Amino acid sequence: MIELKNLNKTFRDIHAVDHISGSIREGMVFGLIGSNGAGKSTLLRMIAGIIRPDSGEILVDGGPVYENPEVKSQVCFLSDSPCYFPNADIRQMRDYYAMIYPSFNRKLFDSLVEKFRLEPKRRISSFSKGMKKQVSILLGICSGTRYLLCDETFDGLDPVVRQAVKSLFAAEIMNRDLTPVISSHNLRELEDICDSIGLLHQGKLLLTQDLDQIKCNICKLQCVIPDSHREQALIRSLRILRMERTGSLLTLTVRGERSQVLELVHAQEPLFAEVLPLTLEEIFISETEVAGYDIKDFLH
Amino acid sequence: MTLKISCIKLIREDIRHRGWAAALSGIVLLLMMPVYTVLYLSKFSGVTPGSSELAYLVSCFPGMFNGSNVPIFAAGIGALAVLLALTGFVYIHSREKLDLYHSLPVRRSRWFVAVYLSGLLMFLVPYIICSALTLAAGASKGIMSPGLAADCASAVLAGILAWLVIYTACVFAVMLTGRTAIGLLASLVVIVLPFMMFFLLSSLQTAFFESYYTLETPLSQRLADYLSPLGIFSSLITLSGNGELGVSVPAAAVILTAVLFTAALFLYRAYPSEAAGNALAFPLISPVVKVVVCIPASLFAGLMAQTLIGITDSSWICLMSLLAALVICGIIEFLYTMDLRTLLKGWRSSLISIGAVLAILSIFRFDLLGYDTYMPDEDRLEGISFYPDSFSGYFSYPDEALPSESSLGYYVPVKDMDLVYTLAQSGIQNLKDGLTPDMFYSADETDIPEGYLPAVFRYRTSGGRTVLRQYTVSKKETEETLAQLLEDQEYRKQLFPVFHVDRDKVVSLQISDIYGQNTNLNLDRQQMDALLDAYENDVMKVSADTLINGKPIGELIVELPYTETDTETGVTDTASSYNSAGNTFLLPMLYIYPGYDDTMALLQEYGCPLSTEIDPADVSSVMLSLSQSTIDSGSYDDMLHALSDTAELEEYEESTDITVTSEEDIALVLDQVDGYYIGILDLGSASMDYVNIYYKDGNFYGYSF
Repeated sequence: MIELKNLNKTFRDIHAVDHISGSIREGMVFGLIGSNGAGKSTLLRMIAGIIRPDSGEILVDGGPVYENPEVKSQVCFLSDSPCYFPNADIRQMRDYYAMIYPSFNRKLFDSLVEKFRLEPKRRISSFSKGMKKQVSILLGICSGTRYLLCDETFDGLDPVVRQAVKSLFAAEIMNRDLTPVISSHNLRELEDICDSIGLLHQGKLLLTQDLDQIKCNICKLQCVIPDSHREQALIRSLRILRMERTGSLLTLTVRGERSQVLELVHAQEPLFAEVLPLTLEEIFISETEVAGYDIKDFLH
Repeated sequence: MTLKISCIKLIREDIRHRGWAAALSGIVLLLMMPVYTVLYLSKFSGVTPGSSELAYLVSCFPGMFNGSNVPIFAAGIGALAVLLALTGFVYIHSREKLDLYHSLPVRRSRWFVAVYLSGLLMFLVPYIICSALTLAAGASKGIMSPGLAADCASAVLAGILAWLVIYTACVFAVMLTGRTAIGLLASLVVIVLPFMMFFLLSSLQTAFFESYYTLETPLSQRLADYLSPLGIFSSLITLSGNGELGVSVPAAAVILTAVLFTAALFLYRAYPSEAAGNALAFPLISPVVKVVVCIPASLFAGLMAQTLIGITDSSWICLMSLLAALVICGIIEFLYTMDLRTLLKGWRSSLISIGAVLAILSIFRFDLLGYDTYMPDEDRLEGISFYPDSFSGYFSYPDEALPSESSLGYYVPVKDMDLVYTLAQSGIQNLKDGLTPDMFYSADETDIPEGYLPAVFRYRTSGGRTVLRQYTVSKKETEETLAQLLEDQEYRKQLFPVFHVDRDKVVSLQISDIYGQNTNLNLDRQQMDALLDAYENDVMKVSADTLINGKPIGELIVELPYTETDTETGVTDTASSYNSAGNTFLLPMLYIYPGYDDTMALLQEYGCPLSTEIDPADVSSVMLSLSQSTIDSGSYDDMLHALSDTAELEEYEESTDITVTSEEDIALVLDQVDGYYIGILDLGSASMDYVNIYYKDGNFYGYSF
């Protein structure tokens, strides 16, 4: 388990990570989402032991990660822009990772390289951006670590490879003890693969929960209530994140379970009422809007 | 599970990734060492035991191992150090690479040591191999001996240490920076700046203080050889090439390397990931670095401008230094941000830098610490000596190995200290009145003040400190002081070189008179002793006035053997002339004055009387060259008019050459010249007038007058 205890990191006048606490449980895929500059990469680099937090503590399986090779041997970090040695080919990088990570699975790596149709003898520097990412992911998966930190790893992969990588992740989770932590802007992608989500905004962790639980606790309500007093009573009774009105149709993004919300709205005798589930993207927009990250700010 | 990735594996991988740098290192060393040595040795065909070629090759062979006599090789060693340091740690200047390395389960200190050692191996392995090949080349030429092999081993050790100092300094500089280009600049700063700082103090003293004088290498400059990477590099290469390595400089190299290594390791462990791409890795030190670099660099630039442009007015140094401070501050700010609009961003540190430069220049320019006017209190004075500039042309000592006691004059008797102290005080007053020692070294003869001469004063204080100062002193006052001092028998003994001659070592005695020809006296040991006794006697009893104002009529010349120390250390006596025939040298300038009756009597007895005038019958021709100003002065008009038609006059733009061959004309010309002898307080002449006398026996005597 990865435990984050009151993590804080400032780069000169930028507060990149602002007193974050939370935990990432083993055996599940954790998605890290957030606005641009929210601190996702910084958080991942701190978990990988690249950056030392100004204050707070990161424990991986109970041990501090920074400058602790034993703990770090269970963590593999895949950067958003993967780096390889000059003139290195896939085999050389494989050998290097095999030297660094004792549990590196050469056999699996070679078979995956073949399946992904990557040329082992070709210089990696001559690969396309997506192919470089594929190599990075394969190295990460085969390193045999318990934790795989993927910083925007899916960005730049074509849909087929994305699906293949997702399947690979699923297979590895099934076969061994693996906990991928994936940061991405592609929320649809994460929605498919993640069990748990952490939402970062301006260095703060707005929420961290299982995806199903998030979806259960937030929903979109559409209703028409002719009596304005009853409508106001409904608004007061709900925990509203977002509200829109189109004529007499009221659209609300609210916290709470769907059944409870439906019960509250029916008590106000609506002409029409419907409760819909939210996509991860809608949840992201609603939550960050509450935190002051509003699309209207960009338009006006 | 215990995870330990061995350092050897990391080193092997690093060398593999930097294979090109290892190959380059090997090729450069191969070309510079064995290949160059083989080509160089092939020029010498007649290397036989005892031959001068063998002696020469033995003396220069250790230099083949570290470039002490091939400067481009020495520079190559330095360049390889910078290259291997930069390529080894360049990854810390890239965020992606840094993320890769530091995310891997290896401690930072282990990374550092592995990369450091791999760079070291990339130099060390080819260097050792090339050294062995170079040694083999020397052996094949038949020049090797156990002694030479030891010197070569010492040169190899010095080469490794010299490389290591530069390499570690460069690694340290890379750790301070976030961009490779800035890393390279920082390397130059770390390597050169301490050296520059140590040199600045004595350079500023020379430039600003009129009374500054030093004979030995100043302490600050000697410290540069032990405390700065460039100084240590240079000393190691030079000393080992001369077979004088010793222990102190290698020890300094090891200590400095250890200090820089520790500092670099500490910085690496603390190196922030976000530093990549910034000029400096630790923004907090930016203003400090600016101030530390700007102050010495500005002062150095001012001094360089003075040297290059040839300006003598120290005010220009101030102006140039301040201008340089402004420019350097701007350049450093630009390097920090790469944005011209932010040149004034660090205005506080710029202000501190410029202010500090101004303060330092003010201290030197206006002598705020009173350097030029400093004199130890009389009650703290244990000894004082004075050495007029003319002494260097008048006295020549057999035991003189610079810097020596005699080269700064002897401490005067305690009872006469106040005399010299007063003379020094008048020198300080002269300095205040604008009479500086520099005037005597001016290219323009009219700048040289009449009736004065420069003199070095040496004070020894009760604390054991020795203080040197140079002033301009009045010739008259100096004469009076010297006359008083010469009354003291002990001082006279110290001052005159004859009393420094080791009688047992005298090989022969020669004399020279107005003819300007050295004549060997062919005396036996007893006769030589007798003549030297007589000469010493005459020196002691002759009046001070004769010594100061008299005109010598000849000189005694002593032939002495070189001491072992002289030949081993290569110490040369600038005042003595060498006898090219063997391992002896001539000690000239034991002047004979008209009052030296005992000496002259003995010379008469030995059949070598001194001539006081040249017999025109002995001369085949005389060529007199007179400058235009001398001609214009009319001093020689009578003589020129009296010359016969056989005299040849050749007029040039700035001089006229008169060549006479008839005996009458020769007598006329010789009447005008009276031999070349300098007085004890004469500074010599910078006159353009000179005479060449060609004797019938084929000898020649020429001098300016």
